[in-house]
Amino acid sequence: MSSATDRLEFRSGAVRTLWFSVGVATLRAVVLPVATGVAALIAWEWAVWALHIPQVVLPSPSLVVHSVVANAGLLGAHLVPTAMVTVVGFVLAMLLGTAIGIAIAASRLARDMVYPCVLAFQFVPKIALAPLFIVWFGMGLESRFAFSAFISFFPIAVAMTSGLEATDRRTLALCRSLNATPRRVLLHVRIPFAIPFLFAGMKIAITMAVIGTVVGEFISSRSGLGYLILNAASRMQTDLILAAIVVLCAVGLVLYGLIEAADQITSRRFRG
Amino acid sequence: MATGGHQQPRIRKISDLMNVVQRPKLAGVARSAKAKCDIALHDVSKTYVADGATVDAVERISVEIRSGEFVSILGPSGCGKSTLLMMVAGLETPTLGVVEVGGRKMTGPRFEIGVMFQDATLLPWKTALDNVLFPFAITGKSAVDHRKDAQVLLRRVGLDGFETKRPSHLSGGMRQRVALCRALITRPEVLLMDEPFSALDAITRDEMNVVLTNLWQEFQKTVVFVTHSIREAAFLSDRVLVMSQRPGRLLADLPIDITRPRHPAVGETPRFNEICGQLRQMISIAHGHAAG
Repeated sequence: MSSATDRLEFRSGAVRTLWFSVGVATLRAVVLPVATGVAALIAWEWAVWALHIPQVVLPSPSLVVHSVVANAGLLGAHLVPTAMVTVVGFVLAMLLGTAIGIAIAASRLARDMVYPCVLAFQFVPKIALAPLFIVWFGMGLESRFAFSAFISFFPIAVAMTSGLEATDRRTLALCRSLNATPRRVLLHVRIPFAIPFLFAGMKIAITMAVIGTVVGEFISSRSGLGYLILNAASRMQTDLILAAIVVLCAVGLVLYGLIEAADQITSRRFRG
Repeated sequence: MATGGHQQPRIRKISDLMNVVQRPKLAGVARSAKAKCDIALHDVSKTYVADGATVDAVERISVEIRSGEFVSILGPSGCGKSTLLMMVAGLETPTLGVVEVGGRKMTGPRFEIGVMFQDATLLPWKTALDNVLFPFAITGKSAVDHRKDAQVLLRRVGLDGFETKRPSHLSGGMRQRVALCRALITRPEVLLMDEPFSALDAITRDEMNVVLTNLWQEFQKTVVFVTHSIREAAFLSDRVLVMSQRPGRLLADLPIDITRPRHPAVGETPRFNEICGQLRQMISIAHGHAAG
C-alpha cells in the first residue's frame, strides 16, 4: 500500500517537474529572442542619438513608430492592394506548384521530363525577369499577380513532389497488393501523406510572394506599399520608407501565421 | 495434386467463422487426406540486378502448400525468404519458374491474397476501424457491409474500445493487431505474412503469436509466414520450410506434429524444444558450421 502511494507521489512530483521545465522552455523560447530584438532597437536608437546621425539617413526606431502612427491612413490605403496581390499570387502559385508536383509524381515520363527542368529553373534569377512580365501582361494588376505567383511557385512544386515521393514504400506495396489503381492511391494515400510537406513549402512560398508583389509594385504600380516606398525614397522620406517596411513585415507575418494555423489544424487531421 | 475445383466453400462470413466448432486437428501428414494444393511453386528462381552485378536471391525452389495449411519459411536475414513471399503475393515476378495460387498462375497482385508486412503500415490519419476497412476504401468498394465484420475482428484481437483511436495512440503490438484485422477483413483465401512481429518486443511478440494461432484456429486459411525466429515458426506452423543463405534454396521441410489448439505452455514441452533443436541444427548446417 505504502509503495503505491510512494509511486503516486513520485509521479505527481515528476509531473510538476515536467510542467516546470515546459514553462522554462517556453519562457526561453519567447523571452530570449524578444529581449535580443529589443536590445538591438535600443542600440539603434542610442546610436542615432549618440553619433548624431541625421534622421534622413537613418531614422531612429521611435521616429519610425511615430511615422507609422502619423501615416496610418496612407499606409492602410496602400496595404490593401499589396495584400490582395500577395494573396492572389500565392493562390496561383499553390495551384501551379501542386499541379506540377502531382504531374511529376503521377507519371514517370512527366517526372523525367519536367523535374530536372524545374530544378534547373531555380538558377534563373527570377527577379531579373520582372520587366518581361510588364511586356507580357501589361502595366495592370495581371502582371503583378503573375509575377508574385512566378516568384513563389517553386518551393510549393518541390515540396509537393518530395511529399508525394516520400510516401511510405510499404504502404504503397500494400496498396499494390490490393490491386488499387494509381489514381486512388494518389488521392487516398499519397496526397494526404504529402500535406505536411506541402505546408513547409507554403511557408517559404508566402514570404517569396510578398517579395514578388513588392518588386512588381516597384516597376509598374501606382499603388501598394512597394510603390509607396519608391515614392517616399524620391522625396527622401526615409521614415516613411521604414514605416512601409514595418507594415510589409506585418502583412508577411499575418499571412505566415494563417498558414501556420492551417498547418496546425490539418496536422492534427493528417499526422494522427 | 489437384489444381482445379474446390471441395469446400472458401469464402464464408467471418461471423460464421467465429462460431465454427473447434475440433482439435493434427498437423501436416494427418491432414493430407483431404488436402489439395493451394500454393504451388515450380522451380522458382529470382535474380536481381543491383549496381551492375547480378544477385541470386532465390534459387530453384519447388514447394506445394495445401489449402488451410500454416507454413513458415525460416531462414537467416537476407536469404531471400521475403522475396519468395513477394513472388507468391504477385508483387515480384520470378526470373524463372512459375508460382500458382488456387490453381492459377500469378501474373500480378490479387485482392483475395492478403499481405501483412513487418511494419503495420497504418495510415496515421485514419482510426483503427477505418484502417481495417482501408482495403475497401482504396479499391473503391463499399465498406458499409464490412463495418460489423471489422468491429467483430477488432474485438476478437482484443482491441475492444479502440475502434476510434488513431495509430499514434496505439502501441506497436496494437497496431500490428489492426494490420492483422485489415489483412483478414477481405476474407483472403491466402494470407501472406512477412516477418509481421519481428519489430515487436519479445513479450508482445509472444502475445501476438497466441492471438494469431487462436484466430487461425477459427478461420483456417492458408498462411505463409516468413520469420527468422525458430520458436515462432515452431509454435505457429504445421510445416516449417528452412531456407539456406543467399542464394536461397530449400533445405528442409519439417512437419510440426504438435496437436492444436496450441497454448503458450507448449513452449515448455520437451517435444517442442526437440523440434526447435532440429530446426536450429538445420540452420547451423545451412551456415556451414557444426551444430550445437
